[in-house]
Amino acid sequence: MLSPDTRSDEEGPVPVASSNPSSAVRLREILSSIKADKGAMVGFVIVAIFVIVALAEFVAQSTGFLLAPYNPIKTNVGPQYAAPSLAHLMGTDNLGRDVFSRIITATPNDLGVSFTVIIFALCIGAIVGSYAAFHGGILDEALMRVTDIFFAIPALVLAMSIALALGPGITNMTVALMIIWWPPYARLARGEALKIAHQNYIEAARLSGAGRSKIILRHVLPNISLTLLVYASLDIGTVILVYAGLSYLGLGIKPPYPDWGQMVSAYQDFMLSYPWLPFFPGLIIALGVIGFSLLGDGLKNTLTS
Amino acid sequence: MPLNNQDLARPQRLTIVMNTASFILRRLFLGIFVLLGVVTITFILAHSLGGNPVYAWLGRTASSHPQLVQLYTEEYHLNDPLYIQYYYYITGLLQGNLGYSPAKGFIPVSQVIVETFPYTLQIAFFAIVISIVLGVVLGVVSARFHHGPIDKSIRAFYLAGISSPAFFIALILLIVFTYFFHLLPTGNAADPSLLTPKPITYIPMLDSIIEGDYAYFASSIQHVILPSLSLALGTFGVVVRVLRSSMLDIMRSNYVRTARAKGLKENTVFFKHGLRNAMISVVTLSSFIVTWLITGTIFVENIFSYPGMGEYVFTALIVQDYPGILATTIIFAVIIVISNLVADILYVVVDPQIRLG
Repeated sequence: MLSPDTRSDEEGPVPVASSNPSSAVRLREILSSIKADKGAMVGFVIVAIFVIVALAEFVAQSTGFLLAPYNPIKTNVGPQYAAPSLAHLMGTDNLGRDVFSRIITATPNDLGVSFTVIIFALCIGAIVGSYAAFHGGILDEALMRVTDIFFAIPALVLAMSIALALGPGITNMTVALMIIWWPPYARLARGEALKIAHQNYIEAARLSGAGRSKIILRHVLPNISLTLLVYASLDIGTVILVYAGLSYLGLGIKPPYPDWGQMVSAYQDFMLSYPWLPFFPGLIIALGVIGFSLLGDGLKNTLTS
Repeated sequence: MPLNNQDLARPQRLTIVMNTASFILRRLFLGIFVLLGVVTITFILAHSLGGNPVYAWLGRTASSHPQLVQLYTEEYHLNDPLYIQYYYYITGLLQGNLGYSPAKGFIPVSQVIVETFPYTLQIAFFAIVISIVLGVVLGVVSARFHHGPIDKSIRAFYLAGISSPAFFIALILLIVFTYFFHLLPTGNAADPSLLTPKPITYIPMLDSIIEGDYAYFASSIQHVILPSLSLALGTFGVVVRVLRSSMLDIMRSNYVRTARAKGLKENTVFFKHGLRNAMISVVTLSSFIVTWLITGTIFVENIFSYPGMGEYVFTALIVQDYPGILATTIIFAVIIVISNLVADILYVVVDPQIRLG
């Protein structure tokens, strides 16, 4: 059963599943068009640096090595309130800890939270959305109304109230963000699935006796995944921002372990005498978000043109 | 288009009016439904705090005041089954009972909101004005000189604004304008030596104009600039982006080609045909802007010690004032639902071509 507002776009080009080039060719095309777009290239480089640092630091942390130049938690590795210098790239804080090392240590947390939340939202949203589109009826209606409710509460505020119920901490924040992040994806997936629901290859699959789940898994999800991925790539920055906000409010990782947002709020008290202290963590958050949105914009332009 | 316009004009207009009315009614109904959903979520959250929610609401006060616990248990019918509690929760909300705030010495949360909300409204008003003016001006410049160096620098500027957390922008503005250049004051909504005007509209800025207290008005303008500018720097970018791309689409459309073919000057075409129609797309952004402003006030008001609702949320969070957090969540949802409703209606009014669905 399909909702009455289903109208396959008559004039648009018909995406045919079999005409998709192999994913390696596809990837090469995308990479070459990113290279041509200056903005996307800048975004790509920023994201690559962030991801490499995060992965390296994650491996280092789990094997017990130290990637950062100084221990991020031990106090008095340097003088207190040292200005940025070659020895301490971003200066040192009130406890004589190296700010640069703390920022590096925080990278896997901040990126980890955003990737976890986005991947979860993407998977759940895609499945729920396309299932609702093909099932129609009460299930579809219920999904749309639930997403309406989620849209009425700002993500940060809802995460805050969930955090009160679950208690602060990085795991609870990730769970809170997962709970609230999937509805827009479900909505997007539903819309995309409705667009292709009347395509010939879906009809063909249905006529050949494929069940609803098989059609969704084999034909719908592969065809809507590109749109969802583009949306997700633009959305990673938003999760970084919201998580930074939560951690600024003291709901993220507990000190002494560092987190970008939490560092800004902790160093805010010293901003008059040592303005670089809150400046660098804030700048890193902004840089990360800029990187992801530039890359996302580039991907969007490539894939929609 | 029908060939004979006059015959069909009247019934058509009637259908349009009828459609608009039923559309607005449907939206209103949807809004009420959404609010009910939000209230239910806060109810579930309040009851998932583990054990007796009273202990969570009262915090440390609970153990020293057993009579308070009993009072709360009775008032919220906590010994009754869940659906009865839910009934009392909803009726309580409808009567304006949002609980009592531990952060503010157990005065009703509704009173706290009446006191703080007008200040947030002041910030939000100026933030919206700044972001729309800045956004439209830069969006127009961007579209006029698209792909040129001006367009690119505007893009870099708004990208930086949109990507920075609100607290980061606020901190930079505070350091630069207050501490380095001593240009603008910080802390409070106006100079603390000045008396707050008597509440008439409950919005201090308006009241001061009505009462002719221009010293207070001038001071409150000075105090509102930085907080609202920090919020606006995060939102104007979306206006630029949407206005620019919709301008570029419109300038490629057939009616613009016709206007040009008629021999109109490029500027006339650009502003009269282009900008007027592109402004419609800005209306759709209101939901995004309102959400961003609400989220932003929590940080910005705290950094500038501005006594609005965002500041209250911040303190409520630190002392774990649950009734305050849940009540403000509901208030925020009400604001968003209302602003979405207004935007939907505006959208239909400014562009009759929109399909009412």
